Amino acid sequence: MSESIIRLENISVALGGEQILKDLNLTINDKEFVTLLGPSGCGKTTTLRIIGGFQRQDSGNVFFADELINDLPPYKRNVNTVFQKYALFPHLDVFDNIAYGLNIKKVPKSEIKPRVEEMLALVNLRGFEHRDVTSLSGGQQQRVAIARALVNKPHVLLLDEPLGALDLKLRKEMQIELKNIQIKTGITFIYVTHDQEEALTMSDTVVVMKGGEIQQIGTPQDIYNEPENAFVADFIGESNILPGTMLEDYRVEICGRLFECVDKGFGDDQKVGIVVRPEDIEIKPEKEGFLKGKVKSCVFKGVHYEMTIEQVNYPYTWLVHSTDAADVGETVGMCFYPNDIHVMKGEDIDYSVFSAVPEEVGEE
Amino acid sequence: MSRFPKFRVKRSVFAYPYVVFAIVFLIAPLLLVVFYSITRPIDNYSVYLDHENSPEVIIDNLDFIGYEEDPTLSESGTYYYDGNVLSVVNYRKSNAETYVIHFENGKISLLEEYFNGELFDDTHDDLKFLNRLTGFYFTLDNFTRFFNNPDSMKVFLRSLYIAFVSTVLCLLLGFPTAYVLSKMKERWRNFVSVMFLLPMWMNFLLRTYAWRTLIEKTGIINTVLEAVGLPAQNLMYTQGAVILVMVYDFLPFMIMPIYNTLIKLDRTVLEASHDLGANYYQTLFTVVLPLSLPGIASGITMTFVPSITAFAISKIMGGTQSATIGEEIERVFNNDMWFGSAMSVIIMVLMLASMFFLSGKDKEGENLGGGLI
Repeated sequence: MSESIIRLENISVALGGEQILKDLNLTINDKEFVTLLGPSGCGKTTTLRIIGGFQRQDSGNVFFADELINDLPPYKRNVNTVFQKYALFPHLDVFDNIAYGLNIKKVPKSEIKPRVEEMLALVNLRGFEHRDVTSLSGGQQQRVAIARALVNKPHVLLLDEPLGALDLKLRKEMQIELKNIQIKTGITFIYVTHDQEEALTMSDTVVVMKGGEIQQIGTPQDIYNEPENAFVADFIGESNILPGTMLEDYRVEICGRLFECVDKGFGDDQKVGIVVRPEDIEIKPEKEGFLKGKVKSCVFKGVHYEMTIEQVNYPYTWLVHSTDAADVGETVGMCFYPNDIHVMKGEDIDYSVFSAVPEEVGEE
Repeated sequence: MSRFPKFRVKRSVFAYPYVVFAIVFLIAPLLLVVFYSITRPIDNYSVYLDHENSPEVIIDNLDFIGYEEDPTLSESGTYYYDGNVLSVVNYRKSNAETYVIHFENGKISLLEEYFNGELFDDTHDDLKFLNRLTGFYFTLDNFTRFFNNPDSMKVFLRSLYIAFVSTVLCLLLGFPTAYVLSKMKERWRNFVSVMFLLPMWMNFLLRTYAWRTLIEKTGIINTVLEAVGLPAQNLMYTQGAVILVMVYDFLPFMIMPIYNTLIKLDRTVLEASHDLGANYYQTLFTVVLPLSLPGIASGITMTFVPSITAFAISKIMGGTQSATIGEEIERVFNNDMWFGSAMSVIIMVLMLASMFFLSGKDKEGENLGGGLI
């Protein structure tokens, strides 16, 4: 079993009078790829900075391999960081940037060269040794930053939105590359991003954060398929989130129709939130669907059509991704299966914040 | 279809007056100095009105004028004004025009090296200076004279030394100050930087005199020293006093450019350095210092350049053993502006060379001179 390498205990931080982290508890296991995911301002970067030692928490403890490291300055911690804007040393060339940490640690010159070259090979930058870092492209600079951190053989690598400045294609390539590097080196990666797709692609564990609190911790599959609350459901991928009633275990009522589902343990006749992913909804002829709706819009998106469908009799609008198009104004049937219905505790869900549901619903 | 032909003016036309203004206003004095430095006036051209009502013309030392063609003017002596002697002289020397001098029955002296101030200041203050630059010739004599003269070389090297020491002291004081300043909280930082700039709002001569009242023989420091029973120090009129005031005057010019580069330093780069295991001193020497080189370069330029040409400070604070080149230029210029110009040009070339050298260090080139708020 993997053991915990970093443990945050009751961490609270306020910056400029604003509470950034609220009583945060988090355990990160060794050799894992952990992603802190959340919208901007959710405290994910602050969490990373606390682990790196750049930010002092107001209260709470940070443990590294069960050792309290609250007072350890950044340069004594066995973690290295890949910064959002790379933060390369502009006065040094690629080789010297990567060798910086080793030079500081007074590693013999004869050892530095092979280690730097090994790193350059790892990040596919062979032959760039004596290039000026400012002349490199964003992707190359990012690789240098990764190599510069990894060459020190840290126990944990912190990555603060490292791919944020890259274009989509490069970002996807780098995602796969990063994951490969993590597997190859066996270093614990703690990765901060606001891009849910990035989080799902690379992580072993995803930590979804909002407003300085952890919303859910789980594997990408857990997070996507079993969101614990409406925020997670909405943030990870696109969702239809609407109120429903859990009549009893495995039976839920949505829009006045009874559905079978796979969830239990909510109690009888409880108000719950229902999450249905747009791609899980099938479009059928009007009579064959479980629910009926009028197509409001239909946009071709490449892989699928994105439709908004106004529910008949209820003030909800469904977001549907389907490979079949439907005419605008047509009334269609929608159906989905027990597996596709995700139920979450829903007493105080503010439905108004979710895109697919019109505002009237939230005001109930 | 328009009845009037379209008359269009290039927009750049409106910029021309400003360009002309800039050239005339900024560059003309400079060109004039360069011009002076490579010419000499034609000596013995000066004409003085001596004892009034005497119809004699005295011509001294005509040997170097060399009027072989006109034997009447080939040797020193006394000539009587006949209404045309001077025209001849001027015609010979200027090779171009005839200079007409108006004088009334006067005795005319043609003196060698009329620019040697003593001639008119003391013995000949009844002489009237009548014509100034009526002729010149191109020569590098001014420069060779400077480099061959051990006295002026001595002053020159001494100025270099004083400027160098002042600049180094400014750097040693200025960098840590700028560093501490850049680390301060913003509110404090603004307050303290105003404190540093405050003395600059006072005329620098006044500041220099203030230092004099502090350190002179009967000044405040010595009064205090004597009051507590310590021997009075002889601080005034030394090289040390000159350097002290130069450091005091030019320190803000060192602090500000360095401070400007330091506050612009990317904080994440410093964090990256800590992250990679460098403690605060290691970060200072391996990251902060190299990255603030542009600021240091412009700081050095802005300290070294004025301190090498400063003449008021050494004049007020220094003695004969601490005269600087600026002081020397000022002194010489009044008597021999051609030689003085040459000295200025030498200093100017030195400045340009050092600026060029330092701007190589300043990659972006944006900080040069950017320290002046």
